[in-house]
Amino acid sequence: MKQYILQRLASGLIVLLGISIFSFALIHLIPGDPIRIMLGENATAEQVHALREQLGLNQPLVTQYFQYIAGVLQGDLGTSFKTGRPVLSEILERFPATVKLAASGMFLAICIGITMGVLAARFKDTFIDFSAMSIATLGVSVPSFWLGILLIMLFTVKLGWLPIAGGTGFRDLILPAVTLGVLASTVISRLTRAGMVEVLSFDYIRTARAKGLGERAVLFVHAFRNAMIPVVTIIGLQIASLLGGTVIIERVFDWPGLGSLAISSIASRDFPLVQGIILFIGVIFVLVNMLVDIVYSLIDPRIEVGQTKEGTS
Amino acid sequence: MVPKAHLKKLFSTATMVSLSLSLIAGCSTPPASTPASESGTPTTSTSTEAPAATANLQPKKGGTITIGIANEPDQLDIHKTGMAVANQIAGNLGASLVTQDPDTLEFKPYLAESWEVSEDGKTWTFKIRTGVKFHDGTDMTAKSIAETYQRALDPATAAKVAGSNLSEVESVEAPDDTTLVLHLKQPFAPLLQFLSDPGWLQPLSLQAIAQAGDKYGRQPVGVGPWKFEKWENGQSISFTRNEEFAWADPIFQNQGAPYADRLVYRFISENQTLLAALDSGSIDIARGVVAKDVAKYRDNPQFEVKEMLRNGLGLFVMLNTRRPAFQEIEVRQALNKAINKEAIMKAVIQGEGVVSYGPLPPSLFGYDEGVMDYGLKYQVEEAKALLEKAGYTKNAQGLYEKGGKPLKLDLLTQTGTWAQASQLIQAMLKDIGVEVNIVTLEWGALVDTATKGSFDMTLMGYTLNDPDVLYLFLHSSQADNGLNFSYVKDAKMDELLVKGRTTVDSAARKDVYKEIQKYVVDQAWWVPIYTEKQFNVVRKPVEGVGIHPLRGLMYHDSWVNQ
Amino acid sequence: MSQVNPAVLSAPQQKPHAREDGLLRKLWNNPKSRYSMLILLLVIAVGIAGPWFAPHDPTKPYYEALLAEPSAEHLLGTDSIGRDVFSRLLHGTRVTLMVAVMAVSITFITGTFIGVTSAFVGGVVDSVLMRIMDILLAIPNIIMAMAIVAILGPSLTNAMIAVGIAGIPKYARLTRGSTLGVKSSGYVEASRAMGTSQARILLFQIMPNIMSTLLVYTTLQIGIAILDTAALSFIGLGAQPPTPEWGTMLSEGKEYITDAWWLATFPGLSISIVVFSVNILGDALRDILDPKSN
Repeated sequence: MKQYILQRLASGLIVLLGISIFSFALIHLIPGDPIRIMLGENATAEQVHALREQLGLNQPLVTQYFQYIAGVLQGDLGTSFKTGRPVLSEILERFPATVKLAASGMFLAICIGITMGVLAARFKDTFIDFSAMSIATLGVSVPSFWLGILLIMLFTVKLGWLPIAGGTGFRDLILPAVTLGVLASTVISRLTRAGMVEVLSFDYIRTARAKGLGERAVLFVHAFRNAMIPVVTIIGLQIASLLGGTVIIERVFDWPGLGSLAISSIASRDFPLVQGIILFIGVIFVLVNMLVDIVYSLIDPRIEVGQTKEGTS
Repeated sequence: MVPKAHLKKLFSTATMVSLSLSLIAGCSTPPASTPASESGTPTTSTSTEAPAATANLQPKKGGTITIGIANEPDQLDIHKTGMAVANQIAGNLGASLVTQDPDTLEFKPYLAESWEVSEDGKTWTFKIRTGVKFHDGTDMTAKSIAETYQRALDPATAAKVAGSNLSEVESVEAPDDTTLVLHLKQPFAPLLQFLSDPGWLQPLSLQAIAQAGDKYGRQPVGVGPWKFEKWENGQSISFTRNEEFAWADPIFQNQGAPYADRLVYRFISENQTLLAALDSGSIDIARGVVAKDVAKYRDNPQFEVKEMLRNGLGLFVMLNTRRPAFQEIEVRQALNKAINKEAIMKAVIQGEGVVSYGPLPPSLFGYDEGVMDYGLKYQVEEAKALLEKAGYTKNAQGLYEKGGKPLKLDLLTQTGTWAQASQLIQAMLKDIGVEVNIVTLEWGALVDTATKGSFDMTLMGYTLNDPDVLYLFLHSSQADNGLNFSYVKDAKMDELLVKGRTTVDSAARKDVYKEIQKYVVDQAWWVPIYTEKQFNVVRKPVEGVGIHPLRGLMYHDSWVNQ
Repeated sequence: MSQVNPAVLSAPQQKPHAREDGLLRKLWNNPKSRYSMLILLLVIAVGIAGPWFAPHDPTKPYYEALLAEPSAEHLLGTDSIGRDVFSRLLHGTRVTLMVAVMAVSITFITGTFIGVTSAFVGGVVDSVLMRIMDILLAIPNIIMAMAIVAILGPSLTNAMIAVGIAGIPKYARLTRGSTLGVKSSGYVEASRAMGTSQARILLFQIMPNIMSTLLVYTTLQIGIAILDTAALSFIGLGAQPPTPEWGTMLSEGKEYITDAWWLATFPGLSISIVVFSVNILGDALRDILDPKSN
């Protein structure tokens, strides 16, 4: 157990290191001289030289990387071209909104996904099963931004029940959270159904049924708990990927989170900000995944076997 | 980290509702002269009854006025920013030396109780009123203003707009607390116009700036009716009432502190969201409502539409004369003749504006109607003939090429209404056989790219209350780091522009701009397209919102009727 | 020895062929995959021939018909600058399909190469490659694609490359897993024991046997590629005007959500139908070829 956790931490660290290299490399991968891009065609040689010196771009790449990492460890992700403010404060100001959206979306996804999955398994091979699974497939086929637009058309334009957005209040949250939740529920519902179907065929369930236990008790006391193990894992993993999913949704609903910031920073060619956001999201993703794995291994020791086989190779 | 010097975000665009909106189109007054004639294009304000109705009501104290606006400023240090929206918002924090009557366009005393001009027009002496305090409690004196202007003129500050508004000022001094003297390099016609702006040229507290250090741009201090409260990044900037405020601008009825408790700017970049926020009452005033959405508010008694013609060209194409193709006048003229301005205006702003053939709109001083005759009209065949005259021939794909190189041009644009305009221009140029590649950038990045000269053509728009704006856009001194994105370096142009800014006599100055207008059209550096009406919608509980040609909406007489 | 060889080899080689023989028939027999195949065939046909049937030039503005409602002249209406939505959709079909196929090719070729190399070579190469894949996996797909577009600049080609690259890590992992499975199976071990060259094992034993898994995943990846490219275009980082791309059309339509319902409705419907069909087909393929993985 301890060994697994250590192993997981070590591999997480390596990934973090890699992400830092990736985000560092970003600015150097931009075709052309970044200084020339910043200063343009009118810049004089002196200006170019001065800025290069100032940014430390005249030093060897490795030195630059270590300077970058040293900065990052002290919370210095550079300065935004556009606002002249520290990148980290720009990010931290937007992050809570994204978390709020992702968490609400996740909550809805779990409610919708598990309900649909259990129903589909309970009524396997009936119309209910077919509809639930078709909806799940539809959920991964419909572009999130289109679903968002359709919801706006219905609930805001047609019915006038909800605001389009423009704030971060509860009423503003409903539509984006529903959009996110519906789309994220599909994986959960599929997995719940698969788990339930498998568990329901096990001997002990048959025994429970034979003992005359009510269907509801069988379903929820015995089957559900066991079927939930893989679902819980995937929920953990989904938390991180939901953060990615919010990017587009934030744009649709004008939600002032990290995603909108990422999009506008690319449009305004604010490279330090782009770099910072990538690093930040990568780090969050790795940390969440690591946490989920570790917590999960503590709850269910069996995972150690499965995970080490897949996870470390 | 990176010097801000290259990040210049001057003047406004279609989506950035600008600093100076004009209610009265036609002729605006030249600074320090008698009001001009009343001729010109009549303009519109649908709210003629509203003030009368408001007058019967007694303004109440309290409440919050929330204004929805598309763009967020980069900062509110008015010397460091170049964004029109920053000026507009910071105007609430400040006050100006003189004020301009919104009806007569005459200049009246404000922070300066009186002023005198020397015979040669180069020395201006202002008598500054006493009893004015900054929000931090310190006194504002002539010295504060002198220090402010010295800071704006200091190259280390790199003050973009404030610096350029004061560019003709050689030195500033304050012999005592109530006397401010400006020494000019040469007579400068637009001076009072610029000094009447409570945004760019407001007095700043150098003490507060020194104390706040780097953070000053996010916690500004002024002498105006509103005090900075907080800035929620990406969401809003809010102000609270300056209870001490007893030096109101004489153009207002309210001579004390503002009525509302708070004034909040909310940033809503999506047009639909802005309207939804207005409909739901989560904002009281929507700035920059686009033409297509205005109709439903016009008929609704719950709302008041404040409209005016923009004080500046709303949309024009700047051709980059660094590019060999645009060094040829025939090519520039050809593009002017290939673009159907009426069609663009109809599609993009539902025809709510006027078509432009020259560099000045009817709402600016110096506009000459003659441009409607001599301006380059939409003539596809003539456009093709001009390209052929310049040595271009059609290749197998039907595109014009010269020396084996097809005429392929990048066009910078930004999202929103400009995106449509750029696609129409693309389609129109494709019709004559010129390929256009659209490059969409955020406003800041667009100005940045244009400043650097890394483009072929860019869409642009400007707003300023004085035709001297053309100096900024076309004078050779502005080519390398200014707004002269077209890189015009033309001796005759330079001479005319200098004459325009130094000629103080109104009639003579008008003739100069008449000549400038003709010359710019002849040289075809730009493709003017249209000047649009600008719409702001006010929701009913808020009363008494005024409009000023320089400052746009004014909130000092505004109150919440609740 | 050499006489035994073909006999041993025949089993694994036969296996995939036998599967593929019946594959189309099996797909056809399943009503879900039959309909999705029919729809996709139709979509491909539209992608190829659509532009010839388009009643109007997809980039030509009709100034007299701005935001026109669907009518006989403009079947699905016009957009804000008077372009025919139906014609744009038809042209957009080709754009969407081509971009998806190209993006998935990038994913498929690079991902398979990395995955197979990793599994086949093993050791340090495997560890390094997989660690790099882990790193890339730690960045959500769309963010990764955005980062790449930020570097290359926004254009449809770059969006396609970005989406293709963003798909690689998952794909490489999957390929590696399947390859390892086949590699450790009895017949590969046997033929290795008999001295068959590595290259032969790779080409004739491993590749055919992982193809079925790859086919399933590639199919599903097409759906993902279409969605991601549209998403990039929607946020302005993909197709540039006036390209009639569905995601861009949706984003333009969003501006007119209260004025012109048809602008956002039809492109979204098109994307959904195509991706839905691809996903149904992918599911059916999985049921047939790789029943365990569901």
